[in-house]
Amino acid sequence: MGIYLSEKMKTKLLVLALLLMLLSAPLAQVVYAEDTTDGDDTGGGTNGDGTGNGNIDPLVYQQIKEVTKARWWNLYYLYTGQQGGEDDGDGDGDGTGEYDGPEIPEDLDPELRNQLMNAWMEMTRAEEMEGENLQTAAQQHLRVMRMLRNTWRKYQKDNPDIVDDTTEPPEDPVDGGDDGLPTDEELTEIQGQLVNRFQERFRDSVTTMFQFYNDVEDDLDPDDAMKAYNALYHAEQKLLRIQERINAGDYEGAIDDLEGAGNDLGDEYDDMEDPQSAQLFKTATKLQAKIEKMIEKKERKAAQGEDTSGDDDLINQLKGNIDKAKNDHKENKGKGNDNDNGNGNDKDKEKKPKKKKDE
Amino acid sequence: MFMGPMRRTFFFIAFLSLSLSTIPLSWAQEDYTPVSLTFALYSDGTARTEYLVESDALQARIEVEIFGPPYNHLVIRDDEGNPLVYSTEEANVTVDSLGALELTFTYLTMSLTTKEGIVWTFNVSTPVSTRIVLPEGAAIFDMSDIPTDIGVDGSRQYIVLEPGDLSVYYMIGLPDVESEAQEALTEAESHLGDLESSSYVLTEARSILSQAQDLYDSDQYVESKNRAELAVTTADETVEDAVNAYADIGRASEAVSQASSDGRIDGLDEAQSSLEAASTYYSEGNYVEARTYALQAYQQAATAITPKSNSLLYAGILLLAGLGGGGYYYMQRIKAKKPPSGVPVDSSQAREVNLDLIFWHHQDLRLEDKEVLRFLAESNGEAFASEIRDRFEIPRSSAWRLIRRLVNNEIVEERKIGNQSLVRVRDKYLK
Repeated sequence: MGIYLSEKMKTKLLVLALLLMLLSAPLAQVVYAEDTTDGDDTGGGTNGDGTGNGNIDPLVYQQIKEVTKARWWNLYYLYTGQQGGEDDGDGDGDGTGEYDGPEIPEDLDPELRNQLMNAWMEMTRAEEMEGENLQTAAQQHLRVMRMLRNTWRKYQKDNPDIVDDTTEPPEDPVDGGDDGLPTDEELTEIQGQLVNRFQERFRDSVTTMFQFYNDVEDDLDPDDAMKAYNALYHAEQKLLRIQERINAGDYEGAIDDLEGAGNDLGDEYDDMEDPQSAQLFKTATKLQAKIEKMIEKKERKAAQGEDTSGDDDLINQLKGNIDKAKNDHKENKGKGNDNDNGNGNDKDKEKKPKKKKDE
Repeated sequence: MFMGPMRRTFFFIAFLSLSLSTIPLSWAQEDYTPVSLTFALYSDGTARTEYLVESDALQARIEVEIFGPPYNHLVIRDDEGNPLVYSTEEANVTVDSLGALELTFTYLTMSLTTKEGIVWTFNVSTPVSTRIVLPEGAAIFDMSDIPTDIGVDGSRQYIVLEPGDLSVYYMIGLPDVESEAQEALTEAESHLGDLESSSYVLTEARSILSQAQDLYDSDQYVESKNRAELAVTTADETVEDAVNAYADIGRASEAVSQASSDGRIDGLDEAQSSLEAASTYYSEGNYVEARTYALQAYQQAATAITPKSNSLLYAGILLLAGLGGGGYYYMQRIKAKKPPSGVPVDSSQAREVNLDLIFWHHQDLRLEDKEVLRFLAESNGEAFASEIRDRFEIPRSSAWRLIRRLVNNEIVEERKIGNQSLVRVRDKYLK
């Protein structure tokens, strides 16, 4: 038996569901981010539950195994004072009959003795798991390390004097002296050069974006076209004023203004009615800025006689991305226009400003 | 159809939703993307950090969160290596990136490590795969997760962990018994190989080294290391024996040649047989036996005599019999009258030893040789070998070697009297 809903109600419900989808879309990234950074103090990390069937490099596994084994022997020699273990397999401190490691002296603290034996047995079990699942076996070795760390805590607590004897670290100076730190003079000089170059690239990007604007203006809503044009025009004007600041040597002020110009450009794009169009301009502007940077880098490398083929490839790829974004937008808007039942606004289109690239 | 506009609305909003979820909202959100992160840890707990991020080419200034404030020696460079101006506020660093494609942050921080006893803990929360290089001599004790890579970089161990809340526990100065054993084995193998390339036969040392390897294979690292070291010592001792044996064989060979050229061929066959045996043992690597036979050959060659005619032989036999009888009688008398303190037998004639002259001529004498010479000086310049052994409480073989040295240095001479060996300071060292 179905529940009857009016068509109006159905429409409302659909729109509501879609709005919920829309609102939750950005959250998906946050949730994903939280998943990837999950962790706890007990050592359960991103792939640390031992139940996953994730693949582990056999060489990495081998290293983990060796590290675990080496720690066991380290602690065995440290706790027992032995200078050589007899691997006769007759050690069995807890009566289970399982322990098959080197003999652990009876006079060792029973808790330590048992922990050492358990760690050995867990290590053996890990090795037995190798054939089935390396990931699980590796997790088992990590558990053994944790057990060993616990034995160390106890040993350290019970033997503070012995532990103190071994606390002297080897000479290991940090190579982080003042050498290589730039001086304020160097920073200021370089900053001046970089500000100038950045301003030039920004200006070139905006100029190219006017061409981009001309290419896509027919696909924009008239108001959005105006907003996009104005955004670029305002940026262009600001960059001219920034040039004056740079010429006056006011680099800090120029950077403040450059930052502002970039943010304002983004904000003005955001004011566009159609979010797709806004995103298109934002993406294209970013890609264009990267292209300008790559071109500058390529020219500098070419001047030094270095190979620039890789840079050319990247520049072409970025240009291709812009073209793709442009085409995708055009296709989507085309569909959208079809859906407008032919109610296009040809009058508004005529009012859209035109800007030449060399303007 | 009525559903037409509704379907269009659905597709439009779905498209928008998809676009917003997949296209990075980069203008309003973060202006950088973490690329790589490395922490090189040092024994004092300092972490030298290198953080690489991709930045926005359109941004003049970006804010990046770094790890573990407070920090020092912070340097930020763009993708061309230019140092950039920055300001900091806690973990946030505002960089004048000026359109850089990449930014590299390098700095030192001590706030990511803690120490409990001798166990260090490194904790950090990272957004990108992270490489952690441990201090020199540090051993991993535990880690928060299975690493994607683990190995040794130069002499320092490193691990690479996936992004997240990372912890690495390590100890510095813990003896790495396995590595030490491995090093000892390698060193022993190399040492023995060098000696063997000089044609020495090191059977015993090889056997010990093999045992060391077996012990290593069964995880008995300390014992393995001890064995490997013993293999080296044994090899050195064997070489010393070989050198001595070689010298003794040479001396014996000369003695045999000398006897032969002197016509002292009686007893020379035995000397030659002993010499051949010595050479065989030497080539087999049994240098101790080689030496024994070489010395025997030398003595036999030295005592070889010129053959006599039959009449003379009979006379000689009679004479020897007489001497033997006389000698026996003499010995019995000595035994009856032997003084308790090792006074030499022939004490009728005072023999005062010039020790200074001996020591001056033979400045490389061993301490024990000098002591024996002093004893001989106190004993009228002569004593039986047995008396020397008793006096110094040394084994027969040691006494024999000691006396051989003094004989070879021509300080003393040795005479057989009955079954006993009388050691006597040569006349040239008497006052």
